[in-house]
Amino acid sequence: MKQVALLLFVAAIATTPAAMAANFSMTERFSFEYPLDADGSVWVDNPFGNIEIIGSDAASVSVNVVKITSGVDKAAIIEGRTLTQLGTRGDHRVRELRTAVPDVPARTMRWQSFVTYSIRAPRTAHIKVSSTYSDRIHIADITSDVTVKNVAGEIVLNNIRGRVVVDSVNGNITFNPAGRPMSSSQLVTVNGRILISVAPDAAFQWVADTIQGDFKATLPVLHPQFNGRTFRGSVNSGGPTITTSSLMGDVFVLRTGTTLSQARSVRVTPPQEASQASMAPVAEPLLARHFQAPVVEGNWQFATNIGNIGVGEVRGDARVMTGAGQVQLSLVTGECNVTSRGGELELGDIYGPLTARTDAGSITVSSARSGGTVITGGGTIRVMSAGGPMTLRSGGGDIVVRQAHGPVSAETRSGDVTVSLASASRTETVEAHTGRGNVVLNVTPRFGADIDATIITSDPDANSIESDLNGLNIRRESVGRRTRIHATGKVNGGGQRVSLYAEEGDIRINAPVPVVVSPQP
Amino acid sequence: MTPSKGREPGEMKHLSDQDLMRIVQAGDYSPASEIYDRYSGRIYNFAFRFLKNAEAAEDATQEVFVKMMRHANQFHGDAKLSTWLFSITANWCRDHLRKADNKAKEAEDVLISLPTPPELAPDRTLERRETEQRVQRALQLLTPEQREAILLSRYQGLSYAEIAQVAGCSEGAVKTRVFRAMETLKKALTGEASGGDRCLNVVR
Amino acid sequence: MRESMPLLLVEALDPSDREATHRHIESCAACAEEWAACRDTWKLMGELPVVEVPARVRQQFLSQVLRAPAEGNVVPLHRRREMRWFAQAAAVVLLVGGSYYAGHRASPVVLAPTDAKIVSASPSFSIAETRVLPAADVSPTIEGRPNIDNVQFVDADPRDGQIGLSFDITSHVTVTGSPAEKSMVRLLSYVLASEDRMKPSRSRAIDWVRDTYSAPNNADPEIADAMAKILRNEQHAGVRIRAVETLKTLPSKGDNPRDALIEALRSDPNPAVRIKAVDALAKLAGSGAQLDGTAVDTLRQKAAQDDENLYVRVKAAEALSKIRPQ
Repeated sequence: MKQVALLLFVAAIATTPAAMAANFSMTERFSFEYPLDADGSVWVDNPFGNIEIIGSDAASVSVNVVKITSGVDKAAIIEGRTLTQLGTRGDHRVRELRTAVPDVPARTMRWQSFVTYSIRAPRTAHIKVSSTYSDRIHIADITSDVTVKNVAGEIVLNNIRGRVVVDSVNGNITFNPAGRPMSSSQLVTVNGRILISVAPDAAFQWVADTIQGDFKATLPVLHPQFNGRTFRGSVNSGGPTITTSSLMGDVFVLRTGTTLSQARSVRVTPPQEASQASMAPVAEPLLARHFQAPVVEGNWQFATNIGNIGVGEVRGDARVMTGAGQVQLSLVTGECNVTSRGGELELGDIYGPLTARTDAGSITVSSARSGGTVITGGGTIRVMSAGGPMTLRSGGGDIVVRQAHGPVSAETRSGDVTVSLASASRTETVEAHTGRGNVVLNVTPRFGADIDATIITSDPDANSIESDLNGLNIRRESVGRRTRIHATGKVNGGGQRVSLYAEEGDIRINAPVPVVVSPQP
Repeated sequence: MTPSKGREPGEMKHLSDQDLMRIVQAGDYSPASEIYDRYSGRIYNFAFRFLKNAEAAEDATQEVFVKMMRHANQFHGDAKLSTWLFSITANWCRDHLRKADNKAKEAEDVLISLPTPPELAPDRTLERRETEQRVQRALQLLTPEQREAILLSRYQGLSYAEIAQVAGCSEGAVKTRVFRAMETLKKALTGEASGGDRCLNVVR
Repeated sequence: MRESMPLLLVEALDPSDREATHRHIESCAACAEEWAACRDTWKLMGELPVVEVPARVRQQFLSQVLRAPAEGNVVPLHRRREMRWFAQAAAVVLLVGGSYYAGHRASPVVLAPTDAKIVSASPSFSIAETRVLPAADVSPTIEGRPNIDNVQFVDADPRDGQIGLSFDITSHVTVTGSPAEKSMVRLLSYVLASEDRMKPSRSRAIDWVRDTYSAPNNADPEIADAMAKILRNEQHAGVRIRAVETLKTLPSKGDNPRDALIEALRSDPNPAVRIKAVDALAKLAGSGAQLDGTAVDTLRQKAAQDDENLYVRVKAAEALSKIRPQ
């Protein structure tokens, strides 16, 4: 709540007595009237409560306020009532009405207030409404512009001729632009739906964007064009532009007299739309966010724009794509290819070659029995067991490989890389690279390799290369302002190439002798 | 001395130093092994690092604990037993040094006779031994008073007030001794190491 | 000033002097160099190993003091004797497993976590005495920024749930106590928040903290605050990811963690962090926690942001759909 100096004008023209109703609430009613020019402005700021503004021919603003305070006891109600203040300020050009409540923390559960404004204003006035939670905001018969902002609650705009701007988070928006839209308008909601109701000969350009919603109409929409998630089309020809943005909900353009259920999607998905950007085969975007199946027999392919996928077993090859969402696969007996544009991947036992890729999110693989490639644009990669060659890449995040039975190439932009080779590995090719972090390689004492380990650090005393295996020569040199510590050599007679690289971190080659519990004498 | 096996060693573990000393003061010597086990390590290490001589440190340890038992009545319950033991040790070591021929003893080879702690993997021993030797040599550069103060502060965790008690001087004097000791050690330890481009250090 | 430095090393100054000295060191280049040299020397001195007392000394002492032969018939193991140094506390069992050893000087590390409990004495070769302190004896107020090194974590003892935190602070100290004790929480927060005190494995340390503090009765807002600080300041992406994962699982209330999540959502360059942050915020919203105007604005902006990862956008919208009036 902004701290604005207001003239607090609480005119108690009619106040119900403070007698408590059985449900501990108190209702107060107030009425005010103020002169206003025909092209004046009305601003209403009412965080909790309904607002209704109807245009009229009078040269004044008349306001009826109903203030309901409910509380756990009389004291709470009195506190709530006192703390919920109605204020106004302005003159014949601008009339501002505001409900002032204390900041959220001060509003305890002990009381709640709900304030409803019923307003008559000149139909030519400019209207601006700001609310947080309401059941309904209703504005009608206004020929000038209307701006509404709220978080949750239905917004209904009827017979508005001027420009309309609505900004909501969860509210549904219903807009009736006086039959034919005369001005450009913008309706934005995140989770709500948008409904526009127009006469059959209304003419306007329609621009819409969404993530998950659909665009439906009972009017023909000409020249429809899709561009990723943005849609353009026109209703009849010419006219102003109406922009609708509902990220998760549907948008309807209805001819007066038709209903929602009659509306049809304007999406015509031509085959060439199925590019990498939009995951095709789905005609209607999935509103169900979770696709689950315990077992799939045979090869399986699945793609969705948005959705989480969880499958127990795929007894065959698996190919899964999601535009956004998590993917969980417990077992795949064949080849496995998983792609997500954003979301975490959790893979269990994968028998065939694995390709797992996400633009963002962590990837966990229990067992990649034939090895594979695991890539994330940013996130942690954990592979518990790798039965074949592994390539691991992360744009930022740790990489951990336990029990690697084959060569490993791991690279992260920032994060620790920890690779543990299975005890049977006498020698193996390993590449581990981090742009910021530590590299730890765990091997058995008999492990043989040609080692090349480099650290670049700005703090040569804090970072070091340490090895349990003998045979390394260490050299230090300056590289600009930093120091390069470089260790090379053959351990246990040499073997495959092991190259380790870390910036601003340590490199550790651990070859522990198995430790036995020593019993207490 | 009257030996008395009035108590089982197992019981002793839970008694405080003060309690154990009270038992000794009452004539029961059975806490001897428990007290020894609690403090012998610290006493021995302090003496060894101070005198740089294992044999002398062994003598010191034994005699200090014997003295502790014999003169138990000199111990006041409100003091810390460790401080008292260190006092006795420090006195013993000072006396030992004063005997002329002991000052000259240099025993370089003492380090080799040290048992290598089993956890140390053989590959790391070389570098650790080098550092160990450097530190020990640097300690020998200090005066006995400075060495005493820095050993008690750095390795035995005694406060300056306690060190003052052990050394028989003021706290201010302890501060100065520690400060001067650190100056010398700093120069000896980091002065040697500075230079940056060490190359071709054969590691393990 | 220079005379104070050794005192600083042994924490012998009182907290306000300590703080003042630290502040001066930070602002004066010469003193900073001096202080660094001091600390390096102190550390090097720590390389002096603890020496074992020969067994014969004990035998000779006991035979001199007690007429009957000493019960030194069983020569205590080197390890066991060192355990006795731990004052009157119970033996500290360090679970040396690959996941939990966060020490700077690595001794051979056991890899995949085993069930073996290794009864080990001093983890490094510092001659300094290792003290075990119960958390109840440690003041929860940390003043004067003590210098902490070589941090290790001791897992919860299954018998009594006590955890341990050990570190070098002039000597090696292990503090044991219940995870809920304020001193424990304060120490952990201090250690976690201090940049260079826990190399190399801050990630593992955070995992340990998460495992220990996810239980509802161990919850403490200071741990969440420590995670929030790491999330805001840490340059190592892997650590930030861990921190935000931990924030999601900790039963946290309080504005600081929530604000850190919002900031991370708004501006962390790593998409995995943003995903986790929005997941955590969605979970908060779903559980009825209040999201203030800033949170709503950030979520709203993220949902509408064209070049943001789709998952983040959708999750942000989902989080918004869950917010409810009081």
